[in-house]
Amino acid sequence: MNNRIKAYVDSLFASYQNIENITEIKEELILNLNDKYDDLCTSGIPSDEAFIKVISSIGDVDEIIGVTKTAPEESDDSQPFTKSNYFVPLAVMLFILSPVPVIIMEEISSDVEFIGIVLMFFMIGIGVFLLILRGSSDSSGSKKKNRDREYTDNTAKTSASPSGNSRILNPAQNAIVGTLQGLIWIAAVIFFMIGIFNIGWTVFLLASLACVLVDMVVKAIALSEKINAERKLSPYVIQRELKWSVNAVIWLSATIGFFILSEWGVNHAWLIFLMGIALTQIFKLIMITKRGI
Amino acid sequence: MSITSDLIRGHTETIILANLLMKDSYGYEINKSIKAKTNDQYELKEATLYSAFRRLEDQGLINSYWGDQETGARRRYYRITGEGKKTYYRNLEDWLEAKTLIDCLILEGGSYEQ
Repeated sequence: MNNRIKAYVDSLFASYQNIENITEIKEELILNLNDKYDDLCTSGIPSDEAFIKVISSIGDVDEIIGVTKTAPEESDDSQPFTKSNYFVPLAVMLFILSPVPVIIMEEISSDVEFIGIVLMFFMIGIGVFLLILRGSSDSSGSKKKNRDREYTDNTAKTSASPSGNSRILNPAQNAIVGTLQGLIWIAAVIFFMIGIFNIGWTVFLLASLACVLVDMVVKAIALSEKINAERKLSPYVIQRELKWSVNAVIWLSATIGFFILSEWGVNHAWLIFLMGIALTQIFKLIMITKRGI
Repeated sequence: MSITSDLIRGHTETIILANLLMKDSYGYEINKSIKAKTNDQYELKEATLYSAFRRLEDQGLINSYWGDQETGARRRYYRITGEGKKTYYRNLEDWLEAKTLIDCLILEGGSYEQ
């Protein structure tokens, strides 16, 4: 073992202590550099010259850092929050609060009752709009592009992988999702208009849930096809997709559950939202541990 | 040589796969064999080699294990996977096709004369 090589490599990686498996990377590098050094010395090259040759063969350390993930807890905290990340919780909040104006207006006077109803529909409308916006920015908007860029940055400047194919859905699949979701919304509006099933506007919550599920299923199919076709796909993109879909399903289910339970006259129906929080946390934990391995 | 290096750089991953096709190997051994095959004209930088290893591992084209050397030092060996072999043969095919086309396009008179 040549201590000069070890010291040199240590100094090269000194500012990268938070990199995953840093010790193993260094161990592998030092071992191979030592082999090279020994071979050079055996072939009659003076040790100082051999040392210079060896360290100049390392190249750009940033290349290694670029393809290596930072430690899990680090990367999770540094995930950028874009506006559309707040759309789902905001929409759910609007759905929950929408009956409030009705209650307030009813209390004030029966003359202004209709204002409360109008406000309720207005809030539901905004909520639905946010959900649709979130869905569309997810499949074609700027957020996706940000994710792609993030991934390309992670895979180092020399990466030979084309950045274009980290999208999960191709335009045709996007169109299928769009059509299916459109049909779901039309059906929801019809159900709402004719007042079938006696569920009122909660039908829109069910429609949102159905949309997210359609999105998930199509993406899952597209993903398995892609894996079969051996195309490279960023694990970050898959994880983000999964994260947002699962969260959307949890929150929409919680909201629907809340209304059903309240309808049945169950006390403390709001506890279901605490369960929702617990579930998202458990899911987050699973994702982190998976990434750690 | 710098243009040649750039051209070869794009094939780093295929070169590594080609070296692992016959037997499992480790970083320095692969680089030694690259150097020997090219009569000392080409050699990968260590950083290039390891970033390529990580990418290949992420894509499931190779996997690694810690092997014991007689000298006692722990050494990381790489093994090509089934997917890796498929990718190698597809890349080889692509390269041969591209080589023929580029030869046709850039050789004077459009014919190959040695």
